[in-house]
Amino acid sequence: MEDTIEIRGLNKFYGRKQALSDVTLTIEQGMFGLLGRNGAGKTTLMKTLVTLLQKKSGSITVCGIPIERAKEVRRIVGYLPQDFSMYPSMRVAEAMDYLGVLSGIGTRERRERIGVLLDRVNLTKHKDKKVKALSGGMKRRLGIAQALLNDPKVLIVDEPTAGLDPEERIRFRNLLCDVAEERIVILSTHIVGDIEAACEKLAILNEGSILYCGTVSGLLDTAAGKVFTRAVDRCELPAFKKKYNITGMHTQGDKTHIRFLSDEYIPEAVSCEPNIEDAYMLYLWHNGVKADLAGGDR
Amino acid sequence: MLFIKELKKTVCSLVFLVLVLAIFVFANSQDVLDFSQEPITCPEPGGAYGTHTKEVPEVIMPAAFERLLVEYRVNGYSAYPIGFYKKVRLSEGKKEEMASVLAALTGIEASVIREMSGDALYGLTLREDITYEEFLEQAEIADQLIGGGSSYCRTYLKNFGRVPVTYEEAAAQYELCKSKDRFTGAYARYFCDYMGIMLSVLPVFSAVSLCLKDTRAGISSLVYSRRVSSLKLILARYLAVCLAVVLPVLVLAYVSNMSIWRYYEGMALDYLAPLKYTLGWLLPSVMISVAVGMFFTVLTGTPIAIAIQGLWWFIDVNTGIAGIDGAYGLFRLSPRHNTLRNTQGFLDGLRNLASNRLLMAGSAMLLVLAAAAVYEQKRRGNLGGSKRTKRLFTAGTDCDSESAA
Repeated sequence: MEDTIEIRGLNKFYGRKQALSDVTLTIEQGMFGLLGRNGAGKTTLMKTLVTLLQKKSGSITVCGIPIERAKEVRRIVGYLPQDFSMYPSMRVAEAMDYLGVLSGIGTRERRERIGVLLDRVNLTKHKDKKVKALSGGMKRRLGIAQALLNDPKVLIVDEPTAGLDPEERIRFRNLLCDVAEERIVILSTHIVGDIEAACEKLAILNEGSILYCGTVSGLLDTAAGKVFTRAVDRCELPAFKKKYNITGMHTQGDKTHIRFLSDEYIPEAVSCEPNIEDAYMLYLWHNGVKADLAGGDR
Repeated sequence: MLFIKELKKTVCSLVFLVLVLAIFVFANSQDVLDFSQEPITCPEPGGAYGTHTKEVPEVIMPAAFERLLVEYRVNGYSAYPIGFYKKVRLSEGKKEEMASVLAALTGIEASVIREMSGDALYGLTLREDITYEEFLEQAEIADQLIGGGSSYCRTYLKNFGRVPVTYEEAAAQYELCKSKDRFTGAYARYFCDYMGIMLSVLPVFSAVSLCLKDTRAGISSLVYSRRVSSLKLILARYLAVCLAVVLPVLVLAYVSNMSIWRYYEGMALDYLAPLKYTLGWLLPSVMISVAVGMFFTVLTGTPIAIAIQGLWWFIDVNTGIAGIDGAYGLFRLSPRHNTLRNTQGFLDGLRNLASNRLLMAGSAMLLVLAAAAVYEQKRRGNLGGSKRTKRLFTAGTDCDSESAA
């Protein structure tokens, strides 16, 4: 069986609205980040990959299995949906057991895997707790455990860290990195930090189209020489916002230190090393989302 | 294993507990849990054996005529055109036509009858030479003037023929009950008559609740993405609700039936009668109710099935009143046999009853297959259901595809 997901010329419509436009991607083993704004089409792509949505055209093969063979695809895919939840009055182990039954796992194997997975996500001592009593972070960990129940070759996680505190987010990312050693993990997010910390390869999705697909270092290279910092007077700030795309700023006394993007060299500013956020914003800016970067000023 | 899980989910829900409580309260309130005060005894000569309806023209004609006079005088006719009670008031033209009916029945000129008012009308009597066929003809005209479903239509006219049961008839009924029903059958049937009313509608709540549980908990996509086939999942849920509803009813059926066993010591009772009647009579009602619940909930993602089943049930209950002592129509949701006696009526209608029960069970299975097909399409994102309808009924905790995009 192949170890890649091949997406070729994928199109998806909701009525007349095109949600995915000619998406072509090859996803290999390891962590793959899917970055994009809210409404960029990430969830649509995720749902199409887990057979929950039908494509309009194009082709998808998951580890060599055409997406049309839904039952076979479901057998090798684990899915953690956006806003994961479970029957609130079910206990943790009970919920895992129920989902294991739905995945067609035999009783003995199910028991073994539930024990191992709850241990792996540090939920063993909470296995008798009701799902509604779990914290947000615990729920996400339960989510990843349930997605791994059938030992999938592909793990698809949709916006898993949204709403988590920094500590839980780091713990969750590390957990994903662990499980990515033996399978394809697709991490869909709009949080750039997650991609930076966990993924080697990524794709940027905007309005249903792929803007970039490649390595994280490749993305950083595209932004080299286009990120600058400068201290400006507060009164100069509005004019600066109109002219440039500001990716960060903080105030010290009368001066505001800004970090901004520019395709041209700015002699009075200091060129600096781009981070993924800069590179991502640069891609978005080149695709007409400049105003959003400047805090809504148009 | 999946079936056990779904059964546990069903039984542990508040809706199910309320349902069981409602069934118990209803059975208790209708006195069908304890028959110890109603033993079927061998009739003794010279006793009173109750009454029953019989097509005796000499009884039917004067009773129906008297009723027609009363209704004509106040110009208010009771009717059940589609099973529901309706008070009909005739226009002047139709009132004159009704006077002509009375004229044909009494032999007095219609113009004279039209002039009569008050108690003078009660002085009218049937023509001495009127035949039963003539009477039926006029009764049919009267029924048409009223708009159908009146006391004078062919179906209800026989209700005027209420006559005392004779000793011979009572003895024959007893022997039939003893040999065919073996007593317990009659009680089980009577129990089913009442319980059928409730079990034709209450299970829909449990089915809807179970089907909406995924949406309410926001786990639809989690379940959709699992390996389990749609048919297996829907079938497991369907069977779980059916079994969960039928089991407590079976217990109540035995509780009810056991209350009379002590009266028939030494006689050959049919101890399996509660089981046979529960499965043969009540289960198909439960099956169709649950199937309607599952199909429309899966299709629309809303509890609209409750309204659909509720409407069907309401019409069925009202139309069943006409033949309460033995209604076994092919399309009846809940057959009626509201008497401990009339074993012969039951035996006569057995073929119809069997056809009806098979039709309900068969239709239920078709609906379940259709629900599985719809579920599979929804899993693949092909059917979203009406957003407007969903918004009306649900809190909308589940992310729909479009908004998620």
